[in-house]
Amino acid sequence: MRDAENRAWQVVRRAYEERIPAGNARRPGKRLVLVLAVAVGAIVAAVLSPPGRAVFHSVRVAVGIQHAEPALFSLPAPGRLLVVSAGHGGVWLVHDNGLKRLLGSYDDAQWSPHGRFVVATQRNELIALDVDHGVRWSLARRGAVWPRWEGTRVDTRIAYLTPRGLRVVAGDGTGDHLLDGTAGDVPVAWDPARLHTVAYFARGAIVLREADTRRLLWRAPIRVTPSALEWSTDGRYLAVKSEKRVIVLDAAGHVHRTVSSLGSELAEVAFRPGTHRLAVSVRLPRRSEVRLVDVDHPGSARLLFAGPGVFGDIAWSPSGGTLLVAWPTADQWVFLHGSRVRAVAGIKEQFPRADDNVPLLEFAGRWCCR
Amino acid sequence: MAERAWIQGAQRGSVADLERLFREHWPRAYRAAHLVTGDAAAAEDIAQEAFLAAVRNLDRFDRRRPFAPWLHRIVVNRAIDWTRARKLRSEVELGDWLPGPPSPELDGSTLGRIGELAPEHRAVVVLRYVLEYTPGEIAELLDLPRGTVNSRLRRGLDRLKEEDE
Repeated sequence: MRDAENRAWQVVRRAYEERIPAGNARRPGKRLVLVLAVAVGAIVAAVLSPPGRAVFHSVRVAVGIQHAEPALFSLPAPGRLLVVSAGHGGVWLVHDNGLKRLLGSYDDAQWSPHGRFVVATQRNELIALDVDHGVRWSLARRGAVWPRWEGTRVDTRIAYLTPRGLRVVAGDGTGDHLLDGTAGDVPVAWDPARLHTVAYFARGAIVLREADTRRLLWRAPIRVTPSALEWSTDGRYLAVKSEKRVIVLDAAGHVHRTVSSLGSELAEVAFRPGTHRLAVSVRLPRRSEVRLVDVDHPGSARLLFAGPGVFGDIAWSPSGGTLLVAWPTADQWVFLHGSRVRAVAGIKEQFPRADDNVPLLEFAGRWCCR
Repeated sequence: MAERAWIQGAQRGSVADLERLFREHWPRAYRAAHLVTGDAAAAEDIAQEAFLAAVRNLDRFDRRRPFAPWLHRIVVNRAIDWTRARKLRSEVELGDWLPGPPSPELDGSTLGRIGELAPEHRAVVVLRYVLEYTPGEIAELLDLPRGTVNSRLRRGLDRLKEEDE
C-alpha cells in the first residue's frame, strides 16, 4: 500500500505543479524538465480518467485456450509475416493463407520497403534475400545486427548496427559505409517522411541524420535508455520506448508526449499504420495488457486486451485493421480486429527449432505488404 | 487546526503542505475504495483520482470546511460506479485504468467479506464502520435520504452476520 501511496503522490504532485500559474519564473535550464513533466502529466491524466465516467472502451475478454483455433490456418489480414525465432532458431515466412516455411537459419530479418526482398543477419554476415529465389548478395560484417531497410522501389538503403557503430549500405549491396561510430545498441528507425534519413540513439540522445550526406538534422537529448524506436507511418512522430516510459518526439525532435505507466514495464510499442495511435504492451506483476494511446488526444488509453502472464511482440497488419499479440504464457497468438478476437493455440509446436528448445518468437514490425 | 493551514499553504503553492494533506488522508481514502471495490488497482486509481480532483478544485475549496468528507464523497461514489460497471460486464473491463499492484487478500474479519454485499450496501457500511461517519453524514455524502442509509446499513450488517453464522 505504501507503494501505491507513493505512486499516487507522484501523480498528484505533478498535477499540482501543472496548475501553478504560468507567471511563475522559470529558469531557462529547467525548460526541458518542465516540458517533460507536463507531458507526463498529460498522459497520466489520460490513463487515469475516472473509472465511473463511462470510459470503458473496446475491451476484450481474455481468450482462454479452449476458444483458440488449434493451428494458424491463415492470417486474418492481407500481408506476409516474418517470424524470427530468437537465439539462432531461424526465420520463418508466413503467408496470409497460413502457408509457412523456414527461410533459413538467420538470426534476424526484416522486409524491404515494399516486401519484395528480405534483409537478414547471420553470424557475421548481412544478407539480402529474394524469398523465392534465395540470396541476392551478402556482406561479411562482424557482429551485424538489427538491419532496417527503407526507400523507394528503385532507391533503397539498409541500416544496421555493428560493434563499431551504425553502418548503411545501398539496397544492391554497394556503398557500405560507417554512418556513426557512436551509435548505441538500439535498433534504428528510418524516417518514413524523409528519404534515406535515419533516427538512432547515440550518446544520450536521439539523432536524426541523412544517411548519404551524413548531415545532422537534429539531436534530442533524452534521459532514458531506449530499447526501441518507432515512427508513425506519416513520419510526424517518433516513439522512443524505454523500460518505463515512451517519449514521443515530433518530426523536429521536440518532446510531444510522454507515455508512462508509473512503474510498470512497457514491453512493446507499435504505431497503428495511418494513425497517431500507439499500441503499448504493459507488463504487470501477474498479467499483461495492451493499450491504445492516441498521442494527439491523450484523453484516453483504451485497453485492447488483457490476460494473465506475459505478452510478447505486437504487430499491426499492414492496413492497421488487426493487431497481433503474442501470448507465450498461453502459447497463443491473439488477433484483435475491431470487436473481434481470434486466438491461435499451439504456437510453439508450429515454429519448432532444430535443437528442440522452446522457441522465442519475434515479429514486431515484420507484418508486411502483400 | 493543521489541516486548514495545509490547505491554505497548498492554495498558495506549497508542495510540502499539499503532501502533508495527501499523506494524512491517503490511507483512509484508499482503504475505503479498496473495501468497496475489492480491487487494489481500482482502489489506487479511485483514491488518486479523488486527490487529483482536489488539486483541480483547490483554489475554490472553502478552508473552513473539513477536507475528509469532501474527499470521501468522491472516493465512495466512484468506487460504487466502478463496482457497478464491473458487475454489469462479464468481461475484463478496465477502461482508462492505470495498472496497479495485485490485490492483497483482505483479512478474515467481517469486513473481509464485504465484497459479497451490493456496492451500495458496501459503501454505507464502509462509511459508517471504517470511516466512522454518522448516518446523517453518510446521507449527505451520498445524497440519500437518511432512512435509505439506515436501511442499507441494517441490511448490509444483517447479511454480514448471516455470513458469519
